[in-house]
Amino acid sequence: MKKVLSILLACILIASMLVGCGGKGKESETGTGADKGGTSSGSTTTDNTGGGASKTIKIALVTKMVDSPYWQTVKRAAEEKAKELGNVEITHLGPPTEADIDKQVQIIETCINDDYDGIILAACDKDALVDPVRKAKEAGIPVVMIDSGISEPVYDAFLATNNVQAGAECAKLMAELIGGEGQVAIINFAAGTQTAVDRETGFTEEIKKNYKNIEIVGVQYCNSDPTVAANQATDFISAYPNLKGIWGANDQSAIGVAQAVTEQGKSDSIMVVGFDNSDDIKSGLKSGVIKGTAVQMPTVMGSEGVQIVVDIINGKAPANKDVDTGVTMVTTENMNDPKIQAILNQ
Amino acid sequence: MSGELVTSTKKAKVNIMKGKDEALQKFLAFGVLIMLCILFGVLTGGSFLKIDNLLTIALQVTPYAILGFGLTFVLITGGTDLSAGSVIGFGGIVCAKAVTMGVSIPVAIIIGILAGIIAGLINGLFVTKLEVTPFIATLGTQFAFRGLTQLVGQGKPVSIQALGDEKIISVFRFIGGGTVFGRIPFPTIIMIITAIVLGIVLSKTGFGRRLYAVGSNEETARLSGINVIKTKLTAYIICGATASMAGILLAARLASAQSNAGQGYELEGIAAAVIGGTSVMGGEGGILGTVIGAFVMGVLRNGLNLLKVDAFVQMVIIGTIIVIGVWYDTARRKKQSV
Repeated sequence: MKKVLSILLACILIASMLVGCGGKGKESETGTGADKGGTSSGSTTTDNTGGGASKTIKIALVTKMVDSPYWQTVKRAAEEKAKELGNVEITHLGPPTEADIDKQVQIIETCINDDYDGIILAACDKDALVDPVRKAKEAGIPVVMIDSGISEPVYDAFLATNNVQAGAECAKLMAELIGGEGQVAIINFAAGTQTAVDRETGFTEEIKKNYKNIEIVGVQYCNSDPTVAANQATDFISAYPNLKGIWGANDQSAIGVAQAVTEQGKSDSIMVVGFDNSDDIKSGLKSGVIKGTAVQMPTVMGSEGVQIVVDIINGKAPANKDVDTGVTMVTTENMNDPKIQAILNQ
Repeated sequence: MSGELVTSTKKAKVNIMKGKDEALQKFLAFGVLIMLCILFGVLTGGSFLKIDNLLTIALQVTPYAILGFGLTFVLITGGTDLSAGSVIGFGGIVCAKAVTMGVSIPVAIIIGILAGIIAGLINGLFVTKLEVTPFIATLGTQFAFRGLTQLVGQGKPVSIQALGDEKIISVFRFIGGGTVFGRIPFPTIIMIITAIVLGIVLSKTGFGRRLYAVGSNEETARLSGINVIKTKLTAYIICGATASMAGILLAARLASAQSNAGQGYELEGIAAAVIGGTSVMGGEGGILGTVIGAFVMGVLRNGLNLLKVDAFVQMVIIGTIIVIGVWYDTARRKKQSV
């Protein structure tokens, strides 16, 4: 009986894993392509409009997946930068899903053999990719990390959102919206997750340092559950009748807060600032309940990544190993600006 | 013949005793609820007892309570359903997906509830036909249904808001958070209707009695001719249906179905049922108790929020209350068996 039970359990788990992976695998089948050495090729862009004599710089852009809109945005930005620089060729590679860590490791190993001049990498796993990156460095290939780094600083540079800074930007916007004084509450998305901690620290430090007349009345953690966020926000509104603003530290928190503020009919008196971007956040901005949100910049990761690799190849080491790609504050005021629209729809 | 009579009178006696004890637990839970309300009312200087705040609590507890009803059925059979939280996400996202694909709202809601019923049926089949321990079976399906939810949403929320159709959005917003008769939240009305229907099913029908019999002693129930498999299967199906109902209400309130909706809610639902006197060992419980239990949890959360208690301290307090509830249940059973 026990045996049967354990076999059944194993079957269920495997089945659920297969189900979980199946769909996505199919979707990015194009990414697996010729499976020789696990390499997958998305597309290659060459541009030789620059000095014809100079050698083309071949850069591999290795992302966690190939097909997702996010990574396509990174790729587009990298290709644009390549075009701008001239003699740079970008090849976009990546495993079929983020979970295929082994595939990504193989891809990096193949890149080393294929004589790429530089690698831009978003690591699927912070530990598993340390060795491949080290090997690439030993082979003399510069490696620039984007979005997700690795546990040992063997790379040349790491481009990602500095969440402390981003949290501070949200605080500045909030302060501006509520006129520099009053009570503000925070709905954070998780307790104890580094990203969440960084954002909250950035926000609270900025308020404490520069806005003496703003009081942060409390922090609640909604586990990225908008319904929980809505309940917590409603309770904040009941507990603090003079509350002037609520910050939701990720997209789910923000849409929950927006929902609560709408239900309580307080969208004019309570300012909602969010973080990240999604269809629901966009509707919130459009309807004016969400007054602003911090949008991360995959485009900067793509273009700056290329720039740094090219600089290193030309003998110019990056000034800082860790580079903050920053956030753009999209607000109800600026959201119709074509530039901001491009960021919102990136 | 006479033997049958004897067992049935014995059973009746036990039932009466149980009924008394259950009523005591329900009464106790209700007493705790009233005490909490008075306590918070005093401590917050009356703002807790404002009608608006009480209605807010009613809206906040609604999804947990509805989920708790289904879990009450499963718990009475002596089982459990750890996948209920995932079914919340699944029902909600299937319904929202149907709407974004152009299906009319009532049909989409039915599809969503059907998704929950199928999920419940799968759980029930694992538990009854394949005889997998409910804890393990539903732990497995918890992953599987969450995976299916993520698949439907492609890892992202399915946004009804993004459709941009004001009519559909306003209908959903009404279902999930609108008010009727002045200020009463519509989902709470649904919760009350569901409670009445399921309460009657549980206490007044043959199915309800069979459910208690199966939960008290499966073997005896089998020997007295009860179709144990069918009874249990129905309990899991009801649980799936209530979970997907809760999921649709959650998705409707936000006009957006989150692929992670309902994560961990099964434990809230179980806690609500247990605080309200449903035994995790099976054979005992009721819908009214679960309503009270859900309100105890909701009142605690809301009251502690109004009192500006730190988020982490709140977790400790709520966790402790749940343990006390279960401890009381166990202690009572021990006394009973002596």
